[in-house]
Amino acid sequence: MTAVALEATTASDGNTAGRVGIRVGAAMLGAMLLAGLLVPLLSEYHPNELIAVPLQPPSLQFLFGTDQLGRDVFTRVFSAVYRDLGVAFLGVSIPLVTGTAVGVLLSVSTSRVLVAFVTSLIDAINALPLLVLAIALIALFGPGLQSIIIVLAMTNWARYARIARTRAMLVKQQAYIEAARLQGYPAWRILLRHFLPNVSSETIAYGLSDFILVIMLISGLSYLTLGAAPPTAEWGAMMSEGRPFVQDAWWMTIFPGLALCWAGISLSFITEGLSRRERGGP
Amino acid sequence: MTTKPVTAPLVDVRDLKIGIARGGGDPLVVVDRANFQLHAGEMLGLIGESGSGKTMVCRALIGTLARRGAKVLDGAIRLGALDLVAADEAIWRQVRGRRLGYVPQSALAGLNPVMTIGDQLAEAIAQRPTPNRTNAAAVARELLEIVAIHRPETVLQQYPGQLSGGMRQRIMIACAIAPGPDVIVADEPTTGLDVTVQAGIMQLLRDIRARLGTAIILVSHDLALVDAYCDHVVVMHAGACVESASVSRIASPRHPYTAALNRSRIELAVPGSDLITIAGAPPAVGAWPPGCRFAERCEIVQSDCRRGDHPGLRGLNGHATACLHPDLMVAAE
Repeated sequence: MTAVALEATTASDGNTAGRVGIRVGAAMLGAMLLAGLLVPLLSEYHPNELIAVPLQPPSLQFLFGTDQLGRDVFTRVFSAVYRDLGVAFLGVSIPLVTGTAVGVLLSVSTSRVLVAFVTSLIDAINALPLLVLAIALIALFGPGLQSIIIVLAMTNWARYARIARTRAMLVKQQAYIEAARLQGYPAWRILLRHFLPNVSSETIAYGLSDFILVIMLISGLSYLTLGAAPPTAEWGAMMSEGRPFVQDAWWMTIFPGLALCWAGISLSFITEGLSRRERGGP
Repeated sequence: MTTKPVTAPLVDVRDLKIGIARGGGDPLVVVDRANFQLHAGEMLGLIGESGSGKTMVCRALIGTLARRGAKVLDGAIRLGALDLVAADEAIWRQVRGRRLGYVPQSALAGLNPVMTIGDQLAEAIAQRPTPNRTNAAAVARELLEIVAIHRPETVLQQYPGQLSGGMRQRIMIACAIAPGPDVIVADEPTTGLDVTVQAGIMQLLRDIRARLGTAIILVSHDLALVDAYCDHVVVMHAGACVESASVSRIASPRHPYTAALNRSRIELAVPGSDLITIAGAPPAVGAWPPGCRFAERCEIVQSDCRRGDHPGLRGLNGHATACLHPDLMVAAE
């Protein structure tokens, strides 16, 4: 959705390299999403069923081998696609929306006390490394993918709010906002159609690159057994489970790791392509 | 007093006095004695140098003084029967855009960069008293045709960043005329555009006046531009209107400031010689001397010029001047 909207703003005359990047990234991501849909449907194995001899190397029957409990790694890797990307999507979009709203409200707020309080809160949150903050908060809520989403919603909005506020202060003074006022448009319409889209273009751009970081955070926390609980198929959790066996059964760790890299690379192709086109555009 | 016109003026600015609030004391007066009338279908040029107060008058006309901490201290601005000085925000919402269009200086930044031209025009068209939503696309194409934009179908889909400065200013003008206002205030609409594009924009404003009957107030510092395209010229100096006449009459000015402006026109310069400038500098805002504020720089200054209030506009046959001794000037020429 976002990619389509941003693509439209630069229309036809963008930078060729950027366009190629976007296509490659979109193709990679599309292939992964398709596989995430089809593999669990068509596979003869259930991701959580113990169906074979444990720790079998990759073969034609088990393309990515089997894990320590005799589950098919291939089915598990792909049944985790929507879980990982879905959690990441929520983990990005919730802070994106709340952070943008907070930033915009800060930029138009006339209450000095409120502005001082919220900006200090934003600074305090941003001063702490996200991972450390996340681990501390998960200790409070208990491990689980839901906790990760809650933690991201509680902390990551501060980054978006700072970007949105800076941007909103700038947009507020733009001639097109003044021109819209002089056209006699009502205040709510100026806010929604002229102000917000110019602010959110900035936070959405950050959100796209944040997506990769959030996927890494989800897998990282799951690797530390703070995220998805067994037997849930999740890339970080699978790598964590594979760790004791990495010398004998490398496939348990490598394939979920490759899936994670694939997702990350496809997204960075898209974001890099978009930013190249932004810069290369008119 | 100027001769009473047959029809009531569309815009009537009388003895307008504008001040900027200062911490504590009295407001800093930046404009006083601004007087002019705009009639339906007329194109009026309001000219003056930086600090003459033309921009302040312009802001008073479009009701954006308050945001800059300024306000009307005295005088009246009427749009038809409507008193704009006393207008509250609810009245302004009905006036802005709908009855009083505005073409800003900064054409390059005046359009929303993330909305297509089509969407922005549609928004302006929706400001019409009786918007016809089903027909908005056709109206948008028609507007682009009026402002002489080729390939309207393509342009409607484009974003401002894909258009040239001249095209963007044409779109701004299309947005201003879209709601069907009686008056358009164009604040130096050709600033930042190159000369050939400037001519095109000015021609366009004139075409619009002819085609739609929209009255236009052109705010400019360029006497040549105003001369070439307007019907009536009002010259401002140090916060006051000093001369008001039709374009044909302003060629033989009755105020020394206008005469000096005329002489310093760049196209009259002799190649190789220095450009003619007006000696001295206009008096600083807040430090206006008594009497005529041009006296310090005037070639025909008399002793009574430096006494009393700044003279008001007086004159005959639609040619009004604030000069106390316009006859001396004719002799000096």
